Amino acid sequence: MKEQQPDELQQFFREAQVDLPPGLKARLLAIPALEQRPAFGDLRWLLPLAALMPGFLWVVVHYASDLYGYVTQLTRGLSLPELPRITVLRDFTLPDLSRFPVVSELSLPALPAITPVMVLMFTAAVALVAGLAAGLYLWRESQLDVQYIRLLNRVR
Amino acid sequence: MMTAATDQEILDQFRSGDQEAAFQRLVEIHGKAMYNIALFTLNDEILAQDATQDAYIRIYRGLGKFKGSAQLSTWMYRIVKNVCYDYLRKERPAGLGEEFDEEALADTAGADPGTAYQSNWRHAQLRRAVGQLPRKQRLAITLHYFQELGYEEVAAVMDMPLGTVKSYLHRAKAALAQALKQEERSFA
Repeated sequence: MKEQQPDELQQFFREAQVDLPPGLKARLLAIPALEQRPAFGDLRWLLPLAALMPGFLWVVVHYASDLYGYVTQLTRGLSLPELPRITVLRDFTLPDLSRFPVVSELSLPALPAITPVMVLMFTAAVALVAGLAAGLYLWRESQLDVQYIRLLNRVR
Repeated sequence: MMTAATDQEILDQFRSGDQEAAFQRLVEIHGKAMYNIALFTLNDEILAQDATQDAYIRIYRGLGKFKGSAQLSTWMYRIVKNVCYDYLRKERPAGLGEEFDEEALADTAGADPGTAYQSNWRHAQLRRAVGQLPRKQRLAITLHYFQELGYEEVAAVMDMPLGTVKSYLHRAKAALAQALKQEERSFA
């Protein structure tokens, strides 16, 4: 081959250009849809879970003392050391709301005294629900990633 | 080649919320150029596709903040160049890209076998010769001849002084001519 002039070289280069592969084009056009996903995903699916939360907490609080009794008996039956006693909140009770005129007129039902067990159960319940929500969120994100990977694989 | 008016139209469209349509126009107008830059910089089809995709993701994320200090095409080519350089630094194993030439040689469907083979052989020759150039010379020659950018635009994309780019192009042309001469001699 002779020393090429720029025009010849340019022609040579033009012929060597390749078109955008259709699969790649599909991948590129999918970018906006994937990028427009909300940063924390669509959280609407958490609403039913949130609606269940008060009922769940009520059950936890209502049966907390029973559950504590069962666990205590179980630990005794198994000759395990007794559950440690938590004294910080042992004597804590809700203030007497009937002293406030507005509240007393509402004739609210008597609220149970808050015991350490209740606090523990409440914390455990919140942690459980939060863990469940986080797990569901991660699972859903992984499903979206799977969809994206499938899209990429389909064009390869 | 995209004009400044088209640049502005696309940016306005993107910023007005019609991001999908604006982005689609960027793919239609620049997809081929972006892919060819990646392909001739990386010399590997799969990596070039990934690099083009990564570059477009960065473009999508950065387009809203694009100030217009350079042409949109210059900005986009700079992004794909940076992605390719990242790939070369991090991911590219030695000797990658040999299959690329073989695939070019094998792709003779729908054409006269003799002519198609000769044409593909020439292309493969060129790709191999370009692939042997040093990285920066390769990018300079790809931008100048494939994308037909002027010296100033090549300098802007590569973020280098004009004189350096001219020097790269001069050396790349000499090296290419030499390599192609050798290839032709060995084929004959």
